[in-house]
Amino acid sequence: MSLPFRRRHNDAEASHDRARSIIANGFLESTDPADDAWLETHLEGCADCSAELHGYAADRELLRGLRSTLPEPPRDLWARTAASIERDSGRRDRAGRASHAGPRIGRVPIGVLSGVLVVLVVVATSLFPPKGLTPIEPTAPGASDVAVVTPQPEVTPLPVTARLSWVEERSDGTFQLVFADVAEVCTSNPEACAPIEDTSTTHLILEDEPESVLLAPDSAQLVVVTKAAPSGGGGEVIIVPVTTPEPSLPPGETPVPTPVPTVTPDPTPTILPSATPTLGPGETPGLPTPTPPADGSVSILSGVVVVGEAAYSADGQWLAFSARPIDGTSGPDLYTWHVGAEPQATAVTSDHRTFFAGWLGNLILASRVETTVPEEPLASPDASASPGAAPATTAKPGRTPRPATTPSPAAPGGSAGPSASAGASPDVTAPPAEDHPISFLLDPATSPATVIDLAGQDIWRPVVNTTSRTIVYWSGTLVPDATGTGWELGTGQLVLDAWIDPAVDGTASPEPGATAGATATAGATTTAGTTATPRATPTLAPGTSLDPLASAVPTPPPGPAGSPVVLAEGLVSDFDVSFDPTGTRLAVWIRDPENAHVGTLRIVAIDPVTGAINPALDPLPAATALRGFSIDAGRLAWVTPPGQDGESSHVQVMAWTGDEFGQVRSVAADWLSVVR
Amino acid sequence: MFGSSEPGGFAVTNGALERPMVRIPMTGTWDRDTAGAFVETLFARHHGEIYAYLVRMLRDPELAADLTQDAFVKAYRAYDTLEKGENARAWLYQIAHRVALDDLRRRRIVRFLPFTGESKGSSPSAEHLAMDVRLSGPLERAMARIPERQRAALLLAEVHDLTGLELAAALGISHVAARALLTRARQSLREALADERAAEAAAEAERDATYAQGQESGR
Repeated sequence: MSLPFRRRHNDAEASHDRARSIIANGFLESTDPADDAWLETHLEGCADCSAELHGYAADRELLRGLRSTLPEPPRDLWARTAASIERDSGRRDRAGRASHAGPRIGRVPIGVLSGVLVVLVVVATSLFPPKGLTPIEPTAPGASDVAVVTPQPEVTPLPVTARLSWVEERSDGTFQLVFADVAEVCTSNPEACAPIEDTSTTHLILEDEPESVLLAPDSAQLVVVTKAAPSGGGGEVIIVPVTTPEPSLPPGETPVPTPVPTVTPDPTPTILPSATPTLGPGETPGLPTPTPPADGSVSILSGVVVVGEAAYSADGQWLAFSARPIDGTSGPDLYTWHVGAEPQATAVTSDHRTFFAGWLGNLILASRVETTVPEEPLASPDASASPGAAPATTAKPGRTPRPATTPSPAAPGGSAGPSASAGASPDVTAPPAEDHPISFLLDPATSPATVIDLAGQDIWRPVVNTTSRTIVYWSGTLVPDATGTGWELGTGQLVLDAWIDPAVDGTASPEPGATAGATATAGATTTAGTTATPRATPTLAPGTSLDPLASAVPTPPPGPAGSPVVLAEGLVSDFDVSFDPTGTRLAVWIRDPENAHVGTLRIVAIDPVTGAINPALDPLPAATALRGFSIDAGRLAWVTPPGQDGESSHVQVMAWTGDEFGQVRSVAADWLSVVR
Repeated sequence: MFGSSEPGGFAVTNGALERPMVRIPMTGTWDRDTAGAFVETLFARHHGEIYAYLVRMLRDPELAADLTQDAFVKAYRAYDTLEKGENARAWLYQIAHRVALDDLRRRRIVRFLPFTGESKGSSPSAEHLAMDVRLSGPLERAMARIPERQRAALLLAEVHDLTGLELAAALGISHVAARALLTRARQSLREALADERAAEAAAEAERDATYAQGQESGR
């Protein structure tokens, strides 16, 4: 058999290539006798190829030496595999997709099943050892070993009290809200715990598939964000009243009563220009009129794509999120909805580059992309003084604007998004411009904004926990995304830093207007020894565009140095972080750049006193999870992607008591979304 | 559920190269009992080598165990795609290989950093930590340096003893491409081994020099 090789003009080189190829393949399988004869002749006159032959042979012997040190698989591997297969079968049965005609064998307890199978494994392995490999038996022969490999029942499941909820698709294609109480989790093998059982289910009537679901702090209503349908529907933010069962609380705990807001559905709610004061004429097309949903639910915004996650304020009186028009004509703006007091959500920015990050008590944390334009002075304080003024094209104070390809606004009052450069002569070979973000605190009721300063660093989408006094943010730049109206992460790192509360620590001057309803105000930290750059703290009057840099404000004095720790770096394309209420557990989800819906989830343990990470406590190093996890007191819940462990998705729960962690999961289903 | 096989459901035969092979008739439909019996036998035969392969590829025993489980569940779900007469062992390696590459791709993209207590910018990369801890010899370090597909080809051919045709099936490529890949892999390994040995020799020389210096100053 002739081996394929490309004949080159240099016949000598080609003959060496041929020799190498024959030598290499000769170790794999028998070669053509003609090739062998040719090689033998060639080797007589080619010392290099002879050395090659001996080198390959020596390397091969080294490699084959690995056979003697083959690692031994875990003894419970079959038990785990069998359990996964069992669940897979259950899912197939439920889905009615199994089309076999033969009689089914009933469900067998995993322990019994595994015991039987281990015996079979031992027998089969001893009967049919694989050739060429050191046989690896799951157990050494002997009855006692069989007993050992039988999956040990969880000796003492960890008792917890964790409540969670999720939305799942019913067999008829509609959706239902499921509440479940988790009483115990298994510390070593999550599959040893019985699947989570539903406490109650509520049928949800939704016309479109939910993108994300959020439960209000009082559990009286859901916020359902529906997916934008290709046909043009969807893209709504819907408030759905729900009735929740009483949670099973441990003795001594009493639920905190919270007022139930009443939402009066407007039969024909519309978004009037006055309701979105920052959307001036000639800007993005008007959003479609929401259609009144059924069952007492109300659409507070439609025709949008919600960017990031929506969240309620600490007192449950405000809902905030960022959203962009569904037609992609502009970037995101910040929206708020005063629970029960407004018929629909209201845009509070019009710059099309503001992203909701979260809440700090009852103050909104948001981030805005600051585009830079070369040779242009910093924004004048008047830049956004009037309604409908052109979005400020600003540079961050203290930073020299870089020569940038970032476009200027397309038109007065128009989008400042990356696509605004249309009509210019873009240099297609130039690397994408890197924009810098700022972050600020905003009181939704009175609209004063305060810029967060961490020694002049780029801060994007900060999340703060005042209990552990820590802040997580993207310390880096942003680059325009493929849509031309949005941004994605550029160069930087996701970091955890110290959060210095000026109200408590006295290191900064709190902004007077930013104190309403929040324990922590105007949090600003600067690194000790650095010179604080004058910060601007604008106020946002209704109907005006937000420009946090528009007016001069008192400068927060330098505070204690933070010591940022890198949580993730590399090709981080998106992230989602959230603290538990104690601030001692931080959930970090990093998106897979190639799949916007999937990412890797990790729990970070934080010392509540020092704010430092406890590296010894790493209970969830990297779990694959769909976007949209939920972390609350004593538990983290997420949805596994289809295909994990050979199953459809299931809700996976990690719960903890002190420093003890365990897991449990729901039964698998084809479509699940954990309620945040 | 998996305790017995239906008569005629599948048969265990030996292949031409005296490798134990599992053959099943192509049914065209998925059957739970047959799938269970099939995967049970497959597991009994091959779980050790599949696990070993994944450990070598991923250099993480815990992860390898998870992915071994994943591979067998995938085999269970997809047993009806195995063509009649196809080598089940190579087919299983193909599943494991894809599972491994998927994971390696994901790990390249998402990299959480270890929490060492160090401040920003001073943390060693997770990859380096893993290398330091788990790879002791020049061979393993060299294997870790070569491209994943080449590493897979070498492992499958030399450690797991797959033939050329089996290698091609496991890697999901043609026989010719598999041989070419293996040739490149051997060359890459040679170069990587040479680098590792040179680095090791340099480190040893440095240690010797330091020791000699210490001895000299002690006199």
